[in-house]
Amino acid sequence: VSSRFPKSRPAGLTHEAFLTLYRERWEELLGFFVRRVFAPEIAADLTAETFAKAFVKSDQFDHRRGEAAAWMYGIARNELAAYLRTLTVERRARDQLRMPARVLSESDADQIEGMIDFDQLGRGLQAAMRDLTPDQREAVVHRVIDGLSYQEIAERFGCSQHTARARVSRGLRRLAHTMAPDTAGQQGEP
Amino acid sequence: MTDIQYFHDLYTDFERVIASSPTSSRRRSRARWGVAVAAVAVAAAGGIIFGVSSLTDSGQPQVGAGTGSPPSTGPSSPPAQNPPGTTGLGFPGVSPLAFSHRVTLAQATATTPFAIPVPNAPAANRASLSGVFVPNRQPTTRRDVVTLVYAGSKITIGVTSQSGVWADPTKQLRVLVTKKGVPAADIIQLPSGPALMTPSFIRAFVSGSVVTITSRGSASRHELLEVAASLAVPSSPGQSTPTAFSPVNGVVRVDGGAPHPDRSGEPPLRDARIVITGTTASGVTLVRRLTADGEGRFAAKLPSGRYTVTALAYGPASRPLDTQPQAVVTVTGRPVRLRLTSHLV
Repeated sequence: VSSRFPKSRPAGLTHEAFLTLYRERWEELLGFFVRRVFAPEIAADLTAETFAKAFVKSDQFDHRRGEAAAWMYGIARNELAAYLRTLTVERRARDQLRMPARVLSESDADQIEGMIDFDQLGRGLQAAMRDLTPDQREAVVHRVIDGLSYQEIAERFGCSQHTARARVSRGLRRLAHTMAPDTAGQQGEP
Repeated sequence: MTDIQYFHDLYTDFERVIASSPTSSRRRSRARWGVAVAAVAVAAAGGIIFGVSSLTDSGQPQVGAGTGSPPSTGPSSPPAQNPPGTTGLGFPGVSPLAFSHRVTLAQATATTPFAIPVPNAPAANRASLSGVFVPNRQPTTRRDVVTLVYAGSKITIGVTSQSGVWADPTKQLRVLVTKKGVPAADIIQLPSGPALMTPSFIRAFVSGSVVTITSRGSASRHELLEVAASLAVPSSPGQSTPTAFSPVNGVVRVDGGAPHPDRSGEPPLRDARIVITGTTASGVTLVRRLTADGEGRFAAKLPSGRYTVTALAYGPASRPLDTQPQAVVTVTGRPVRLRLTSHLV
């Protein structure tokens, strides 16, 4: 059966289609990143690595499963998740393609920073903080704003360090989910 | 659309990757890209690409929009024409620098509100210039890019706008290296001043433009240095040199105080704080602070532009002055003398 009906291969993404995707989507993708990491250099690097990974994996793109942009955003979400885990932007795909390291100029950084709507962000953060339980909210504030250690947070709550860490972790996860529902819990590239 | 040099450069990187990976296009668009890759391979035999961006926002002339369209205005040189369906380097529908179209150097110079340094080195010179590209976007801004192509794509020079006037460029470069974590960066000295050199690019500052020269593989470090060292802005009518500095000297005096024993009835306002704000001829906002000496004298060197000079001071014995004396000066390359007079309350 398999010889008569071989498994069809994905059509892939042509170089021309890739360049078109880049021209049409780079700015949108950059906005996606900068509104999540709030750092122009990191957003630019994540965008570059996402495109490089899309290029490297272009053979795997299957147009029957969706648009190229949606496929690329799958890669982008994984890049973002990896960054949030490690606080490091990979450059494996760019290294594989032997692409040079690029430096963001100050004017570039200014322009990218301009893509962040801080007012909206502030309102979103306030709303998201209200969604937390009082314990989670206080734990997140102690950890992120006051910069306390888990030991200090535990002493303030009168709980174990493990419990303090769990409260901060749950609070941050819930904040991330509320503020960026499209990136939370996404795993696996399309 | 936002114009960010980083993503222009990244686009050219992808073009280069595509051009240098013939096997990757085997399955798709074989005939079309086969021709394109061959064309680029031939063109890349000894080519150099230059990109230049500005420092100025003011008085931008417009450039023509659309891929392959020359600007509608410009000098008497004939407009550049791309082959139908191409942008000049063999890539169908894709310019060597994304979002750009082809013009002549004279047109780019005439329609760009900033200086375009050109090289005069064996690896890149006027004779080997084969294409000039400007952004499609209208009107141009100080962040726009002009790209010069020298017989292919051996070297790319991208130029980003300088966000301010650097009093100490070497110090600023050190800060840049530290802050941005540029790998293996050296600060080198060129005729135009200090420049940044890394294994992958040289960034030089020439007449208000920031020029980044990148090798596309076949240029040696020595060739890159030669190209960087030879960058200069050709003299052309109507294009000023934004970084020409002129002395501005002044004195701050107080009307109504005790007569000065040596001079006029207006004693000097000693140790006054002077704030100079304004815009250089290239459109860069400049703010400079200095302090007058014991005789109320101050001196600064300013690039051509228009500035407001304000004395922020208290009178003798910290008595407040009723005004903060100001003067608006236009610096055009000649020394300027100022006299600021304030009045005691």
